[in-house]
Amino acid sequence: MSRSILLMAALIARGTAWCQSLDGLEAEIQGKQPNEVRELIIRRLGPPARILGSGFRIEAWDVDGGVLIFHPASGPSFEKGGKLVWLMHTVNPAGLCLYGHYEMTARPEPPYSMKYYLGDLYMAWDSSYIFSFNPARTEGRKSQADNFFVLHPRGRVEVRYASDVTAETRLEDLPDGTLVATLTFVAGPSRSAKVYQILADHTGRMLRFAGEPMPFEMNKGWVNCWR
Amino acid sequence: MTRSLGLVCALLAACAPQAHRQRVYLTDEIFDNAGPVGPEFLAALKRELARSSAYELTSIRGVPQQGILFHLNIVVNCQFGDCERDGKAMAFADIGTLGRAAWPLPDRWYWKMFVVRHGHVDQAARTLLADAAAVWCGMSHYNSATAMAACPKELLPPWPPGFL
Repeated sequence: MSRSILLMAALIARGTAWCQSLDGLEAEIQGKQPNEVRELIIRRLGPPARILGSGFRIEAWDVDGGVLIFHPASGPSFEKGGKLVWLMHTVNPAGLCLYGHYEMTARPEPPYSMKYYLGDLYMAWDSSYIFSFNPARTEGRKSQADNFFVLHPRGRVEVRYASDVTAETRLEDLPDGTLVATLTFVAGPSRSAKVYQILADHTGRMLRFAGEPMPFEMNKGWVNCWR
Repeated sequence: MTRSLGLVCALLAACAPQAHRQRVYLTDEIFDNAGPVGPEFLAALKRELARSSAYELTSIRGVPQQGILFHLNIVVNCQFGDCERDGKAMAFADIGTLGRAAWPLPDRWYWKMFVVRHGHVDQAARTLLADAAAVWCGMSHYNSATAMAACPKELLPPWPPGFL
């Protein structure tokens, strides 16, 4: 008798687990506001298994052999077997994401692969740029003697899209590492110039600077995480 | 006769083409530690928007499904010293759009960061609105280099000199 009860309990428990699936969730959350998406997830999966992060309240659920994460700014994502899928269907045109704030860090340094924050680059809509160097970290500063932006913190930038990319191209459609645009930075009075490439990073939902030699890393997130 | 003239004038006024005013959705978070300059700046910004022939303040619930709505989110808080005593605080303006090229949260939590000072809030509000107009123009014409080039210049630096 008690064995039957245990068996039934196990079946009920398993049945509950089956109900906790992501089937249809992706379709259901499209077009919804962040709070509505969160409520839908909780209605379906119950309270989160863990609260992650700091600053933001990032919630996580163990489901379908992976982890569902709700980030109030970045949106919901599902990670399984090392593969991350963003659940909101977004539209991020290349031309819209290209302008604004980029964050610069030094290249990862051994032994812990630390990436020291170096400063911010702002690309204005009027095609000017301004860079602010953060001199607080001397560790990072040493390696930046030839950094174009440290040497030339103001100037203009010329944008040339890659041959198969336009300002309207959705970054969602570009695989990681695709060339999005070539940027030519021209410093003020000295007219010094430097060319960098902007590469797509679909996985990280970012635009990344590339070019050699480059003593830094610089990237910027997509503008739209929810639509 | 006078009544007829009045009626004609009223009809003409009603039929005259109305200048299109872009709807602006304003949100704010004014921290108490900013002192009086926080509410003063917000009031000045609302006055400027109300006075503007280009914009009209609007309220919404949720992201619009069609069209573009300009969005301005203002945060004023105290970053250094005693802001109430000093009569100045830091303002963070997120200049964005809702709708097609949507939001609701961009890659950063501010677009422009600047100092607001007691007694200079009207000028700060005017400058911010002019700067926002330049940003909105760029955002609206991101797919046309020619149209983008015709946009006004941004007035505010992204952060106060020496801040970062």
